[in-house]
Formats: sequence, structure tokens, C-alpha cells
Amino acid sequence: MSEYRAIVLEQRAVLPTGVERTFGREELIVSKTDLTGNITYANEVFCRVSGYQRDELAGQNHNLIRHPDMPRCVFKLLWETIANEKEIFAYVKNLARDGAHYWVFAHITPTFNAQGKVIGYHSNRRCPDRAPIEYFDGIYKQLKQIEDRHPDRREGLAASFNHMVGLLNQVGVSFDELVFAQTPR
Amino acid sequence: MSSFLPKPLGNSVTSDLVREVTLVARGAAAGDLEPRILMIPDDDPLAPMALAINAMLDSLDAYVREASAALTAASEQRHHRRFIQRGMPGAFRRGAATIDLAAGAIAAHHEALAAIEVRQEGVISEQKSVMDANAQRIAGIAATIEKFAAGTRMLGLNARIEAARAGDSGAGFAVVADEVQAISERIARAAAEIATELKVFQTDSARASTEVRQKKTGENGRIHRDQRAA
Repeated sequence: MSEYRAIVLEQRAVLPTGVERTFGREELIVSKTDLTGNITYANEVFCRVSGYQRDELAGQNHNLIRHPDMPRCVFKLLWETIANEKEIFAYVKNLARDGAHYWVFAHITPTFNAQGKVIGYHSNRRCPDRAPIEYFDGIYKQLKQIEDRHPDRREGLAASFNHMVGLLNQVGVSFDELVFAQTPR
Repeated sequence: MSSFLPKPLGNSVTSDLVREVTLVARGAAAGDLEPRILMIPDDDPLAPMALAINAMLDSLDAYVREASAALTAASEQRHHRRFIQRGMPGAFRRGAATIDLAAGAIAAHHEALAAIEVRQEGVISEQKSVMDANAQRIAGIAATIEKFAAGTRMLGLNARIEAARAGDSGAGFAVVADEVQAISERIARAAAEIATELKVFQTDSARASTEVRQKKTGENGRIHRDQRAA
């Protein structure tokens, strides 16, 4: 417990340096979490890219690596989708222990037990191309701005979420379709 | 399962690790790709082996997840959901490319089917509108004939009245007038028969085009079911 606290406190102090880090095109960052998002498994690539040790990650909430540039509405959509037992794809900017950031093309799926009940989540993250990073970076900046405009966190989240849904409706696509449209084969 | 477990080694930490590795690997062999080796002491000489097995499971797991998700999406006609080849090394990527090709073929097949449907619908409705127009024209001609027949009947009637007024000298003319009336009635009956036949034809053609549409829908259902089964 004391160790857990220590890492959380340290993480709060991590300031983004603006340094970008990437990983291999044939590599996967893999993690598994329980239903509340606490990490139960992290692979070697996760440890190397995020800068955390295996035993530091185990038991931590996945938002340990959340980058402050990320709009919260994306995570809201993400959680709502997997809670509905569906897979989701999203481009996400993550924060490493040393303040560097790394973009991932994340695929998150529910994990079912033999009885068909969801017992946790599994995430495979791939190294994205430059074009979709630029595209989603632009959208996320816009959403983040809307979110930060509200002094009340909940109102900010509702505003950015509505804006995101409005954008999708305007183009007439689902979030999934937008993500795949930006993802080269 | 327990019979597969190795005998305990002298080093108890290593023994625990070997036990976990064995359980996870046996589980994977039996089709459970979910578990990973979680308790890996950094200083254990077998740690690299345990990490290598986890990495192997991650690749296998990702491949199976992608293959299943991509093909499910293809059968449900969500063609934007492809097999993501990024992150897949070597044979996994080659397998992914094959599955992506197959999913692409399913997408093309669906598109071709949809195009055929549109074309068929076009041809059927075009044929139907031509037939409808022809039937309408024939109905118009039949109505004109009926009108002429009625006129001719009236003419015959008038001729008979004139013949009666002329007395004996009009007797021969009365026979002609009777014939004119009889002919006009036969013409009117023939025109009425044409109109009846035309109505039957129009009903039949409407039913035929409905049946074609229903049959087509049934066939598409079968094709989609076959694809789901495959």
C-alpha cells in the first residue's frame, strides 16, 4: 500500500517534456486490467516505452500513463464502449515516467470468462503512423480546449463529449469508422 | 493437469516460477490464451524464459483476437473493421494479410450483390412500366371500339325505325339494319372481353414482380447465412 501511494505521488509530479518516443512497427504494447482499470499484466514493450518496471505497474490504475493533453471525453467514450462489451479503437497520447510522450493506436476489448461474463479488459497498442497522429492531435486539442473552458470538471466533460458526438454526426460516421478512415492499411 | 507439472526443484522460487510457466503454457495449449506468467522475480535465472513465453502469448492472443474480430465484422458487413497488420510480426503478419484479403473479397462480394440487386430492380421496374403502358394503350383502344360499337348500334336502331316508317318498301332495309345491330353487339362483346383479359394480365404482372422481389430477398438471406456459417 505504501509503495502504491509512493508511485501515485511521483506520477503527479511527472511533467510532460514534449519529447516524443516511438516503438517498433511489429511490436505490441499489451496490458490487461481488472474491471476498474487496475493493471494486472503489462508486457515488456509497455515497461520499456512507459519507463515503469513490471512490479511498479502491477495493481496501478491505467490512468497512471494518462497524458494531460488528452481530453477526458475520449476516455469516457472508451469506458462506455467496453462496458457495453464492445471493442474500441482509439489514438491515444500517453505519458511516460520521464515526461516523454508516446502515441499509440489502442485496441481495447473486454475479456470474458467461460460463462461469458466480462472479467476484465485487454489492450493491444500499436505504433501509429504520423498522419493519424496529426489528425487526432488536432481534434483532441480542440476537445481539450472546450473541456478546460468550464471551471466545473463535469460540465467541461459533458461539453467536450457533446462536441465530439456533434462532430461525428456532422460527418455521419461512428467513432470507429473515423478511426479506421484515418488508419492506413 | 497435475501430471504435467514438473517435479519440485531445489530452489523454491524457481520451482514456483516453473510451476506457473507450465500452467500458463498448458492452458494456452488447451486454447486459453488469457493467462500470463505474472510472478516473475527479476533475479530468477528463468525470468527471460518466462518473459519470452509471455511475449509469445501476446502475439498469439493478438492474432486470434484480430482474426476473429475482422472476420466477424466482415460477415456482419462492417467492412471498415479490418485486420490490423501493424504490430504483427513474421508469420502472424502474413496470416493477417491473408485474412485481410479474404475479408476484402467478402466486402467485394457484398458490393457486387448489392449492385446486382439494384440492376435487377431497375430492369424489372422498367419492364413493368413498359407492360403497364402497353396495357393502358390497349385498354384505350378497346374503349374506343366499345364507343364505336355503341354508335353503330344506335345507327342500326335508327335505320330500323326509318325502315318501319317506309313500310313495305323498307323491308329489305330492315334486314340490313338488324344485321348492323347484331354486328355492333358482337363488337361490343369482343371489346368487353379484351378489357377483362387486360385486367387479368395487369393483376398477374403485378403479382409476378412482387414474387420476384420476395424471392430475391430470400436468396440474399441464404447467402448471408452461408457466409456466417463459413
